[in-house]
Amino acid sequence: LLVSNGQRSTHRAILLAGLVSVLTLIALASILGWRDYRSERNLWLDRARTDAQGQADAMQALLTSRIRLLQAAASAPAFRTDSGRARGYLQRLQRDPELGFTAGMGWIGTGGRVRLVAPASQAVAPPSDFSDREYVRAVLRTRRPFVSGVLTNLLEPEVPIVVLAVPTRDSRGRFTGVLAGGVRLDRPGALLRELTRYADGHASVLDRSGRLVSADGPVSTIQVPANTVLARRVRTADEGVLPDVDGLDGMRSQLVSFAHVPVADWVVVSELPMATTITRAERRFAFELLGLVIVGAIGFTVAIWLSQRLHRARRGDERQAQRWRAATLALSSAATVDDIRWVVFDHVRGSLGGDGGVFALPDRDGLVVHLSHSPAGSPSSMVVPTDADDPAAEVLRTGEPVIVHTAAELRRRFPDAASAMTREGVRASVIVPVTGSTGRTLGALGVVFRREHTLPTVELTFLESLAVQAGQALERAQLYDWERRSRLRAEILQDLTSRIAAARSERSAALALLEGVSSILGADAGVVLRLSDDDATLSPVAAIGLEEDNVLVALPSGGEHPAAEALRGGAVVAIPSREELATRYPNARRAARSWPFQGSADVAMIAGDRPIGILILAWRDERELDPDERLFLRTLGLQCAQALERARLYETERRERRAAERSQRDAALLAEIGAALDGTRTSKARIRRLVGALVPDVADLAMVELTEVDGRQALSAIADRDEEPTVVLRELREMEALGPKARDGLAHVLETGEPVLLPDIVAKQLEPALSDESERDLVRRLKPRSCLIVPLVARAEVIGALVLAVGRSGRLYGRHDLEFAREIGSRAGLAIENAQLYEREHRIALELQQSLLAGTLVDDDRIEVCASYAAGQEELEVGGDWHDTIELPSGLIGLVVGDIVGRGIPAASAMGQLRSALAALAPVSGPPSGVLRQLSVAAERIDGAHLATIVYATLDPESGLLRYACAGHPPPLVVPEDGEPRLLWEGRSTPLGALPPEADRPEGETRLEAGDTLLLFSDGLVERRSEPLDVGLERLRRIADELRHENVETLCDDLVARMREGAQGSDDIALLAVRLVRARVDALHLNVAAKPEQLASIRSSLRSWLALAGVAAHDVDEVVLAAGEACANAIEHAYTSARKEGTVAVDARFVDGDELVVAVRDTGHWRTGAASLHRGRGLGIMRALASTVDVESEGDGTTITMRRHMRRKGRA
Amino acid sequence: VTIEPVALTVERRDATTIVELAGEIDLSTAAETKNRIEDSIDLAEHVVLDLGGLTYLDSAGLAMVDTLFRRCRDRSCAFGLVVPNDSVVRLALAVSGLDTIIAVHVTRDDALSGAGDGAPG
Repeated sequence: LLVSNGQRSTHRAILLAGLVSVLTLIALASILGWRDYRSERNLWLDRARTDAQGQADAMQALLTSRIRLLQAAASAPAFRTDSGRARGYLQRLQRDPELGFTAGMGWIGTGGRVRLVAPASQAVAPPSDFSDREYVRAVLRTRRPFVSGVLTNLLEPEVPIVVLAVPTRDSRGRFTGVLAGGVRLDRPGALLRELTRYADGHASVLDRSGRLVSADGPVSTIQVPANTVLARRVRTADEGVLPDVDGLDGMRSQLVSFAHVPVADWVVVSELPMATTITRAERRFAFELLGLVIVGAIGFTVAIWLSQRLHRARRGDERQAQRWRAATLALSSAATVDDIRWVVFDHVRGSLGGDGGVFALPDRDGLVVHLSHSPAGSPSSMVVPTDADDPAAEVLRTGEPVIVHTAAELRRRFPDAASAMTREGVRASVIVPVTGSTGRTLGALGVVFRREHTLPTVELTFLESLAVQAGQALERAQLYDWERRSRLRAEILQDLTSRIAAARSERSAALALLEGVSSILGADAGVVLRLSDDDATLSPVAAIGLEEDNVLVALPSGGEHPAAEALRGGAVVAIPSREELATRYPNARRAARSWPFQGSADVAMIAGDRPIGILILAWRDERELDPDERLFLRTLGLQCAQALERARLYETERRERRAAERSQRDAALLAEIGAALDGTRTSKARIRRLVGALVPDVADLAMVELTEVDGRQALSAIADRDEEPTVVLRELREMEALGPKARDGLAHVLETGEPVLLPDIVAKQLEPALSDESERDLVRRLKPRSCLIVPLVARAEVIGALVLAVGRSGRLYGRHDLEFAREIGSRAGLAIENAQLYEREHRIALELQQSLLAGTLVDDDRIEVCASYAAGQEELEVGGDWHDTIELPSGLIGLVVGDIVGRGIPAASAMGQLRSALAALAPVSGPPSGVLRQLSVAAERIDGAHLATIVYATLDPESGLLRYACAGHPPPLVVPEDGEPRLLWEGRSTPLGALPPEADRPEGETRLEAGDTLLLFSDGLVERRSEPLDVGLERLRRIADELRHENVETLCDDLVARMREGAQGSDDIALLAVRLVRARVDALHLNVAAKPEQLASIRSSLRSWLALAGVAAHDVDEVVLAAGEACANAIEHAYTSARKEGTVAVDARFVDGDELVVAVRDTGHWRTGAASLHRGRGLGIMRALASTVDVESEGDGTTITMRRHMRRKGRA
Repeated sequence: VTIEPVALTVERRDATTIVELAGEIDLSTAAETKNRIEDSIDLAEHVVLDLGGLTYLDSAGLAMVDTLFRRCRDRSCAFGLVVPNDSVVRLALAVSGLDTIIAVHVTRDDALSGAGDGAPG
C-alpha cells in the first residue's frame, strides 16, 4: 500500500511539473508575442507620424521656396514702373514650369486694381479689380508673403487653385503692389508631386478652412472631405497619430497621422489602412497565442496520457505481485482441502479472468474434478477415472500442464471429455499439475474459459506458482487433517470413556456412550444391547434416535444377523446399505424392510475376554465406514465395555444395598411410629407424633387430613422439614401448595381408599398459580417434586388421608414408598381412630365438669384473674378439682383451689358441696386459717369430702397483702414480675378430716407487688407418677418464670400445656392465676416550699414513683440526679430572689408510654448573670442526662422541662 | 421527711487523712459538710475523700468537692477521691467532668497507694 501510495504521489508530481512547465512556456511565449506586437504597433505609429510630418515639412519647404522665387521675381525692376516690359516678364514667369503657376499670374496695385496680368489661358478676360481677393487683402494689410486657401479661379471658375502672393516694392523700397501666382490643383504639378513624395498610402492636404488642397493627387473641384469630424480634429490639433479611425474620405479603420504646414496654415493628413499595419500585428499575435494554446493542450494531453500509461503499467505489476502475495497468504492459512480449493477457485477466477476454476484430486474412486462454475453458476464436481481421456487426468498422469486454446483443439485432443466439457461451456482451459514436496503429482488445478483464449505467459507462470503453493498447502492440510482426526479420536475416546465411567447406572452409561459415539460418527440412531448372563439373548439397555416402534426387542445372541456375527467375531460388522443387509443376511430380510435406516455398524463390546453386549449404530443414508472409523469403533467397543460393565455392577450392588437398607429402615420406622402413636392418647397428639416421626426420614412434608362423620375436618397436623422439624396444628392450606393434582388425589383417596402416587410435580409450575403468599413461600421452601397420598384406614373405614411430599431433599417417591406409606396409613388410622373414640367420650365428661365449675370470677380492676380447668387425658371419669374466687365484704378477695379424693359423680357432688360451703363461710369466717377451720367442720357432714385438700387465700388488692392457708394442698406460687418465682410454704396443715376439725390451722402471709402473679393449682399440674413432687414443683417454677411476662390467660394456657408436655397421661388440673395490677403510676405531681430541706423529700418521692413506674434502678439514679439539679436550681433561685415565699412544683409523667417528661417550675426569674459555677454545672448535668432540656421564663416563674425516653419493665 | 445529716468519719494515718462520707449531699447539706471536712483535714498532707457511702451528690456537692480539691492543691496537699464503680456519685463526677481533674480511685487502698501520683494537673 505504501509503495502504491508513493507511486501515486510521484505520478501526480510529474503531472503537475508538466502542467506547470507547459503553462510557463505558454506564458513566456505570450509575453514575447505581446512585446513584438507592441513594438510593431509603436513602429507603425511612429512611421505614420513621421510620414505626415515629412510631407508637411516637404510642403513647407516647397511653398517657402516658391514664395522666395516669387519674391525674387517681385524684386525685378519690371514690377516697379515699366509695365510694358513687366508684362513680358510676368508671362515668362507664368510659363516657367519650375514655378508652376499654372493658373496664371498677376500684379495688383496697392488700390487693388490689376496692373499686369498673365493669364494661363485667354478664354476669359480677367477682371481688373482684385481688391476683394483674400490674398490681396492679406498682403496689402501685412505687406508679407501669403499663401491662400483653395480658391476658385477667376478665369476658370470650376478649377480649384491656390494663390501665392508677395508684396512688390519700388527701388526705394516703397510698397507698390502685390504679385500673385496661382497654382491649379486639378493638374499634377510640382506642388502636388512634392506632396505625394513621402506618402505610403493616401495623403491629403487641407487648407485652413478645411477644403482639400490635395487628395492623394489632384482635385478637380473645390471640395471638403467626407469625414468632417476628422477634418476638424486635424485642423485644431498640431500634429498626431490616430489609430483605427475612419479616414477623411470615410474609409473605415485607418491609421491617420497629420502635421501642419505653417507657411500656408495647411494640414497634411496621411492615411494607412489599419489592416495593413497594426491590425496585421494584432492578428499575428492572436495567431501566435492560439498556436501556443493548441501546442500546450496537445503537450499536456500527451503528458497525461504518458503518465497514465506509466502508472497503469506499474499498477499492473503491483497487482500481479499483490495477487501472488494474496494467493500465498490464503493458501498458507488454508487448513482443509476445501479451503485450498476455494482459494484456488477465487484466485483463478479473480486474477486470471477465467470463467471457472478446476481443482482435481485423486481419491479411491478416481479423480474427483471440481469445477467452480458450471453454466448454472454453481459449483459442480464429477469423478473421472484416472486413466480417462480428460485434461485433468492427463495432467495427473503426465505431470505436465495441458493447455487447450480452442474448442476445436479440445475436441481433437480429448474427444471423450470434449462433449461433457463443451456442455459446461468450456472452450479453452489451462490445467497444471499440483506437485508435492517430493515431486509427486498430488492433483491438478487450472482455469477454464468460455471463450477461446490464450493465457499470457505471465499468467501461466502465476497459475504454476499457485499450483506449487497449493501443493504445499495440500500436504500441510492432509497432514494436519490426519493429526487432527487422530487426536480428536483419542480425545473423544478418552472423554467418552470417562463419561461412561462416571455414570451411576448401566443405562446412563449406555446413553452417554450412544450420544458420544453417534455425534462423532454422525449416526442417526443407536442401541446398546446387553448379553444376558446365559449368553442366550441380547436385550436393549438404552437407545437413542429410535421411534417407539423401532425400539429393539431382545435378540437371540446366535443366528444370522450382524449383531450375532459381531459377537462371534469380536469385531465390527459394518453394513453400508439395506440392500447389502438383505444380501448378506437373507434371514434378516423381513426385519430389514421395516428398518428405516440404510447404513449400520454392529460393534462387539468386550470386557476382559468376554463379550458383554453389542453397540449398534445406524444411519439414514448409506454409509460405509473407513478403516479409521472401524478401528475407532473397535477400540471403543473394548474400552467402553469395561466401563459399562463397571456401571452395571455398581448399579446392581447399589440397588441391592439400597433395598436392604430400605427394608431395614422401613421396619425400624414402622416400629418407631407404632411406639410414638402408643405413647399418647389424644388424636391430635397422635397425629403430631405421626407426622413428626415421618419428617424428615420419610418425607419433607407430612400432613394428615381427617374425615368426620359430618364431612371433612379442616384441622390437621403438618410437619415440614425445616432446620428443626416442627409439628404444628393448622388448617390444611398446604394442599393448595402441592397443586391441583394433589388436591384431586386427596379427594380421590378419601373417597375410594386407594392410594395415589404423584411421582413428578414441577414446583415452578405450582408457584405462579398460587395467590396466597404463605403457600408460595411453602413451595419455594419445599420445592415439592413428588407426592404420596395414602388412606388412613381403621376397621375397614377410611378415616382420613396421610399426605407425604418430598422435594428439597432431592428424593422422589416410587412404588416401594407407596407400599410403605400404605402400611403406615393402616397402622396410624387405627391408632387415630381409637384416640378419636376416647376423645369423644372424654369430651362428654368434661362438659359435665365444666357445668359444675360454672360461675363467674371476681371482677376487680385491681387484679387480673384467670381460672383454668384441664381435664385429665387418661381417665374418662371427671375428677374432683375445683377453683373459685369470692368477693369478701372486707374488700379482700378470697381465692380457692381444692381437690376432692376420687373421681366420678360422687367426687363431683362432694366438690360441689364443699365449694358451696366455702363460698358461704368465707365472708364470715375471717382470715384463711379461720375459714379452713370452719370448712373442716363443715366437711364432716359432706360425703366424699374426707381428705380433700384445699388452699384458701385472701388478697388485699390495694396493698397486695396476701394471707393464705393450705390444707394438704400444694403450695401457692408467687411469680413476681421481677425476680424468682417463690413457693409459699407457710400456713400448711393436713387435709380436711385428717385432724380433729376444730384444730387450729396456721396461715402464712406475704405481700404481692404490682405485676406479681399468684398461682393456686391442684396437684395435677405438678404431679407425675414417676417422679417426686419437688421435681414437678421445680419444673413449675422454671416454666412459670419463663412465662411471667405473658398475660394471665396465656400464662394459664401455656403453663398447663407445657407442664403436661412429655407426661405419660395426666390428671385433672385446676389452676387459678391472680395478678396484682400495677397502680396507675404514669404521673407524679409535687408542690413544695422552695427550701433546700425539701430536696431530699422531692428525691425520695421521685425515686418511689419511678420504681413503681418500672424504671430500672440505674435509670432512676440518673433521673433523680437531673431532676434534683432542676429543683436545686429553683430553690436556690427562690432564695436569692426577693420573694421568699416561693414554691417549687415538680410534674413528672410518662407520655406515649415511655417518654418521661419532668417539669420543674418555680415562682421567680432566673438571673443567668448571677449563676454560680456549680449552677452552671447543674445545667450541664441536666443536659447530659436528659434528651432535651428547655428553660422557659414567663410572667412570674421559670420552668425547666426535661425529656427522655425510658425503658420500663412490664411494658414490653 | 427528715433530713438525714451527712455522716462523717475521719481516719488519720500519719499525714494522710481519710474522710468517709455517707448520706446525700445536696444544696441543703453541702455547705455544712464542707466546713466539717475542712476542719478535719487542716493539717493533713494527703487527703482521701471516700464518697462510697453517698447515695446522692448533686452539683452543690460537686462544687464542694471541687473547692476542697483546690484548697488542698493550694497548700500542696495531695487529694484523692474514692468512688466505687457502682456508685451513683460516679455518674455525677463523670457528667461534670470533675473526674478528669481529680484522681478518682475505686477503693481506698488504691487511693492510698496512689498518693504519689494523685492530684494530676
